[in-house]
Amino acid sequence: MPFDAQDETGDDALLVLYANGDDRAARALTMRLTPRVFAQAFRMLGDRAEAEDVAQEALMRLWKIAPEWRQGEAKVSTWLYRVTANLCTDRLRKRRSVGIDEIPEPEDDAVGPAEALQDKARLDALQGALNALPDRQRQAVILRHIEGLGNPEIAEIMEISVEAVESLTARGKRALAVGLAGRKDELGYEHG
Amino acid sequence: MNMADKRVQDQELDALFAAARDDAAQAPSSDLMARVLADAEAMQPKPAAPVVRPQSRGGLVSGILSAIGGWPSLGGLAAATVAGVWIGFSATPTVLPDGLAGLVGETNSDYLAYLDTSYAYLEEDAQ
Repeated sequence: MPFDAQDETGDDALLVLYANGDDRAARALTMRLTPRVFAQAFRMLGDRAEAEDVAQEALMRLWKIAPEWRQGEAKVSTWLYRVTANLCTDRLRKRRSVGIDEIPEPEDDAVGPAEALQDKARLDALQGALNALPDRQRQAVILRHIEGLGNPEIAEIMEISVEAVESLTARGKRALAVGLAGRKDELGYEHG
Repeated sequence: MNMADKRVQDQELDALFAAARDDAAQAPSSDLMARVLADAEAMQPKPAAPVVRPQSRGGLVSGILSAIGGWPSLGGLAAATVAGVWIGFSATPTVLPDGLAGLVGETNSDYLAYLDTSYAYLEEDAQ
């Protein structure tokens, strides 16, 4: 069966195929899940190298648990988002214990047309404001507004109620707006 | 903050979130993809190999036995054979008036006619 034909196959069915030794399933799961896990880790940590380590570790845990995975009990993506979130939280805690100077600044190595620079400056401003949020607010905002998940799934990932998710995302957005207010120049918006 | 300001802020934030979703910086590198795939392949359980049953030492006899269904089938086969032999012997006086002795005795020139009347013409031709 060609790789494309597995696009319609669910994550949990692919995981069962993977556990049965199907190498096409290994490839399909890697292609499908790595971008999601990496994006989440990158937004949480604001650092590509650390996000790559977290993504690799999270997926390694999935490969390990595959033979015992029970179809229909949990969504693979939900499980993976939770593992990634926990790994990121651990990293953020370690950073704080090391010291605030160790926190990486958003990377600034792109050279390109003015428009691209402006986009990059806006995204760096967003990342800076995200980094300043408390961990749980940051996690909820990223899952809701960047990963585009629904509140019930976020509640499951974060193991809290839907109401708590709504409260976290609302507070997170307000804090972001305040954080970004001081970066109007980077955002390229006219002063109002 | 008035409502208009809040609306502008929400729009700005939504535009930023959308830009973040499309941001190439949050796409995984090909190196990461290769590392993850290598892990997946290295940690993947291997498909179960087909079970090869060891050749039993019985050779031909056990091969025939297993082909007909083992010892229970052989028991049935033996019983059917014995029954066939018994029926054959006990039925000879009806089919052959002189019994088996008639077949091997001197008067065996006409035994075909006893078996089947359709062979009677052979006897007539012979005479």
